Amino acid sequence: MNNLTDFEIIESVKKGNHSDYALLVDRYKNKAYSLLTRMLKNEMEAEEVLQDCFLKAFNSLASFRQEAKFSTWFYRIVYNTGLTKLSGKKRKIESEMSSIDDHLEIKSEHDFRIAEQKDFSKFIQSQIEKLPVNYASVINMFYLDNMTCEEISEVMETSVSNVKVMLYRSRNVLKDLLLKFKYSEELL
Amino acid sequence: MIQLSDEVLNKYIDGELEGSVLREIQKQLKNSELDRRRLAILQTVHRELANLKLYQVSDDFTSSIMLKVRKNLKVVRKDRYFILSVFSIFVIISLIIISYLIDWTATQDSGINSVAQNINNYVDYIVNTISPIKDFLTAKNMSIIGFIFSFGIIVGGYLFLESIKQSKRNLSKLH
Repeated sequence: MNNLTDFEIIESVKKGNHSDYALLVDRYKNKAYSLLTRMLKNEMEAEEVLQDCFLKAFNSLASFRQEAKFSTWFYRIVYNTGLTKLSGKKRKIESEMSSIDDHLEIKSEHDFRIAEQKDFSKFIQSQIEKLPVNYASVINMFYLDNMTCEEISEVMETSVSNVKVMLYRSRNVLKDLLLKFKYSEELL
Repeated sequence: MIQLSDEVLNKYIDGELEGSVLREIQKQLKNSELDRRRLAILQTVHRELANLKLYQVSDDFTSSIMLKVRKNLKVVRKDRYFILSVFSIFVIISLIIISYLIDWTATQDSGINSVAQNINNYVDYIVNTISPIKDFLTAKNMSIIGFIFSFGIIVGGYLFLESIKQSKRNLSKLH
């Protein structure tokens, strides 16, 4: 059953085999959860929102046109629901007002401790979690979901060039942080 | 020598450069120690991002979703039955009125039995029926019909509101 394509599973669900929807849930739950966790910066909220997303997707499955990929369609639901949750909490406005550099500025004692440990892997992973919503979403979809910039632009309803700018900007800021904390000597 | 921009280095990592541009960049990288260092750090960032942590949902996540899906289906089915029953009530009321109307016109015109025997006469009957209907639609009869319809609408509206309230309660239970 796990070898079925997304389209085959959707067809089966549409024919009335509702339990097959669990296959789609299992296939996308962790990746979508990672995206929401990075957007909302809260694992419990992310799980609640993800439940809503899967229910929304199930209820709208009849209207799903098979011209698009299910993953793109589903991630659009996840991304928009995440944004709605954020706008309700006014966090989105805060994120948009501040720059990516502000988000990745080393401020807390914890950050300094990680930086001083000279473990660049741990350091980068800790900084990724602090990325602003749209940058974190692009990074998550590009690296974790192996989506192309075109697919990400469809999900986020923005231009491909905008997605590339956010992707490059994230890498560059992380690169600058590595240079700032003199990791470059160890890396080269 | 011009320093390579971050954008070019990013495109180089993503394999977006081709042909003469790619050869030019490779040449530049060969000659510039600084660019090579910048590229190496960017590649490290790229590798680290590729190992991005995958968060795991709780173990019972799928089963709880499927439970909600099944409950949701029940609510939808219940709503459909309700709409169908309200619609049926209206149809029945309309049928009662139409039957009453036909019965009343039949008593006005005794030739109704011959209509059943002769299809040609049926058309004449329809035409003849229109004028008795006009007679039927007196102020008194109109108020009776209006009363029946109003009653139906009030009862239907009340049941519909109750159903919406129930649906909301069911949905809030789901969440």
